[in-house]
Amino acid sequence: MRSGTTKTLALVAVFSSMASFAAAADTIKIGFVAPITGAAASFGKETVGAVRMVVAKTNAGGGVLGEKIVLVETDDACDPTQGTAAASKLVSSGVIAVVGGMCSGAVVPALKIYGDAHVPFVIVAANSTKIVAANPGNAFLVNSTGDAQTLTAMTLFAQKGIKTLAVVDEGDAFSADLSAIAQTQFKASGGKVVDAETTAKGEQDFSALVTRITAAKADAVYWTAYQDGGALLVKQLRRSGYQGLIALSDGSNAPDLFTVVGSAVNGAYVFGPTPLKDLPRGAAFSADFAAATGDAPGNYSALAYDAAEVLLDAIKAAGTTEGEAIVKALKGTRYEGIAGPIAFTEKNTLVGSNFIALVAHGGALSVPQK
Amino acid sequence: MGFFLQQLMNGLILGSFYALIALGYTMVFGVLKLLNFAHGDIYMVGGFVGLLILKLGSSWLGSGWLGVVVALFGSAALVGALGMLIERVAYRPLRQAPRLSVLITALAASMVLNSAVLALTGGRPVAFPADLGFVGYDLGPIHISVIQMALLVSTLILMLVLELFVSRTQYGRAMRAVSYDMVASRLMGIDVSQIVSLTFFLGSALAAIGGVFAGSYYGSLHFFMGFIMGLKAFTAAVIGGIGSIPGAMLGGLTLGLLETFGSSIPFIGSEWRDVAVFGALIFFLVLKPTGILGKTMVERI
Amino acid sequence: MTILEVKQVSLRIGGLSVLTDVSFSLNKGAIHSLIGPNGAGKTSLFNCITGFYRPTAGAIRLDGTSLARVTPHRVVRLGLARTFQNIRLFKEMTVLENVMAGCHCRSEGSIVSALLRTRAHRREEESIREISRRWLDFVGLRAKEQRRAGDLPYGDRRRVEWARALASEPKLLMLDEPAAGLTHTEKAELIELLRRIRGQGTTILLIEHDMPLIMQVSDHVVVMDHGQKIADGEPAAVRRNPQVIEAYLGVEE
Repeated sequence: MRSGTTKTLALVAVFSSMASFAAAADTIKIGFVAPITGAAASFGKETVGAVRMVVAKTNAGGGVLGEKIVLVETDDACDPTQGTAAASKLVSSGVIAVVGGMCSGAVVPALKIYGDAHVPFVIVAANSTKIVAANPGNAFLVNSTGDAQTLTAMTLFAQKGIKTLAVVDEGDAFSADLSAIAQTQFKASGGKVVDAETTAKGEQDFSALVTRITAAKADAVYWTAYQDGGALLVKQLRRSGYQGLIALSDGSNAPDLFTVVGSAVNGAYVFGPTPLKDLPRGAAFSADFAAATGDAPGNYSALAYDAAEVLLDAIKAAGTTEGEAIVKALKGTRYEGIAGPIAFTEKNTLVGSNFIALVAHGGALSVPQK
Repeated sequence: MGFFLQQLMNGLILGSFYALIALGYTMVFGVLKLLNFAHGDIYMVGGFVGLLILKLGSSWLGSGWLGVVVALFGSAALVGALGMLIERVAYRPLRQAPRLSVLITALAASMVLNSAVLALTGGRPVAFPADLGFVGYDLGPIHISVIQMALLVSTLILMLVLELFVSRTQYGRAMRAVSYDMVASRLMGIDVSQIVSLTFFLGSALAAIGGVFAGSYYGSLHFFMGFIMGLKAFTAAVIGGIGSIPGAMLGGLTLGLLETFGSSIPFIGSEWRDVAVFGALIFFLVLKPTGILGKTMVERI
Repeated sequence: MTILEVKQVSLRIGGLSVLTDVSFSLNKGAIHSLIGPNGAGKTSLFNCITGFYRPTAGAIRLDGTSLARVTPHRVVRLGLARTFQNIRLFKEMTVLENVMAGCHCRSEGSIVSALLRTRAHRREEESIREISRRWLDFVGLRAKEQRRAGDLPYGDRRRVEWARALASEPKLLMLDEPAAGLTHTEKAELIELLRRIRGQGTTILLIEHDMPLIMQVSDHVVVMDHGQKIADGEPAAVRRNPQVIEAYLGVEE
């Protein structure tokens, strides 16, 4: 929940909204929403490029339903207020569907807006179980939910023989939810949660918390929120001499983690989708992405690409731009994506789990050597 | 006992940051009766200026202590000048205007700095290019790193120098004179504008030092870090007694301890730490607006 | 020799004529008084001279230097000091510090040397302290130099103000109702003090209501009424002026 940033980001939102008036008559408007500014801005950068690739490729092949696609891009800054404003803006600009959504805090309040407008919403990364609970029926999650992530976490903790756990969240929809699930499941599996903490967004000093975690003798620390706070926590834990296991949620799965923490992050675990280099079509996608955007892809680039493909395929299958028909088509999705297979459950969540535990080393995440 | 001492240490470190920022808050309030809302952002800008100095001079400064010390002095000088500029441009023309107008330009100045850094960094946290390592010492049950010691000692020295300056030199005396009676000071031959500029320079330089320390200590900077710091430094200044230099120091340390221990009470989670902080602000404003050491009444805004 | 020349000074504030075409000059080394009924414009004229108000028209010269466009703190540096009708001391500071603050404009040290507390700066501080103590001796308050200024009795606070003004080494010392609220004995001391100040070559300009004191101590009197000067000259001559008697003295006596 990046509510603090609201005041300064308002201006940015005004400017970015000016871009949305450009669409011509014979086009289909698709919305894209992600944090373009704020501490989570890297998520926006790595996903928008992928979505633009899909749109460009589709338009080159004649578009959808005989019409060209125009992408309307908005910034939710990973913030609930901004997320609501971005959703209203997309709906009023006449988009027929939306792809994007990186932070649950910004996505949850937007769900009702898209629901009321019957605009299908394919969510790339946001995966709080609160989204599942609040889903009016038109939102689809291509990323595994907090439940799936927690199962991956529990497997890791069991492997490493963790008996005592400290969980730290940031009080937003995503991390608080993940923290609650993790605590319940860890206790259910016979472990002991020795410390559960909530920090304030934007806080820099975690020393009091670090001392408590150390005093509580936690075998492992699980940070359920995003990379900016996660980086600070890892650094301060290691500086205080903490030797235990450190695990970070997929919210922290971003390159900033390495630039900020440096070598102290080595050995920490981060949950997330399988890295591109370990995926069959990953290398080819990396090359395409770099050619199209000039940047290396991020951890969610492939998932964003898949999400956009799933959405456009559904529009084609529906044969209309009408929201309910697209939703129906989405439910029948069987798609073999770059990041993995995509199909949806009854609740519009991903069938199976795309999460694995990755280990940080030498400035990158990789699949741990068994 | 070890836990208690370590938390005490944590509280003092955190309090040192608050004290450094609160000193500038309190000086400007003392002299101008102005709550300089841009002060937290000055701290943030100070960190980024230090970062820039380290980046530009990386070839000969390196990323160790030499670089950090140069960044501290360089940022203090540059950001001190920035503070003077802000006063000159945004506050001085309004010296005769109602206090609310100045308060609004102070908010605007805060937004300008905040948004400028947002635009320059894209809002992403930026890694601070200093690596002082994790070297530290175990003093009995507590662990203290070298940078923590440096921060604590520097804050104490700076406060002492400032206190000596204000109580023992002609400019410090003029500063106090202006804070008691600006009109009379002017008619006593004191160049009030010069003294106000000096106050802004010193306050901003201290905030910049805090910013560079924050970068070196926490390892990253982001455009929004000044906001919470500004609020907490203001709280520290109020707790210590706004307008009082030892008060700012005492208030900063008190707040740091309050925060550290406030979040360590059993069964009350760390999410309550800001409740403790701002609860203290309300407590002092309502019940003891003069703070622990202050004599000046707080202007209610 | 003229120390202060006020030439055709007018002041309008918000459409209201506060001063109209006021002219007079003050001789060096004398005690001058500015008198007139309440609202005659005495304090406004004071404020024009100290640079606090800008006259709408006219010129004011201190020892030959025009005071137009000179900021108040520079006026002090040019050699003009004042005290206030309602004493304005820095209450939280000690008596000595108040007087030392008065020396501020006469010190040469830079801010940097003060920050670093260089030897030169400490030497200057020492000399400022010596000068300030001399003035405290002069007004008879040396023994109370470490007291908090706000804690002193009224008469003593007046003296601190005088010492503070004298510490800026003025050519012209302007006192705004210095006798107000003083006891009979204190007034006698004031007269003696004024003469001592004059004795060392400093010119004095008083705003006063206390007629016996004015008549006793003044070398020259300027009388104002309704923002205009209606008379000036020796006390005895002014006293006989029918216009003055009508406007002011007649009412008083």
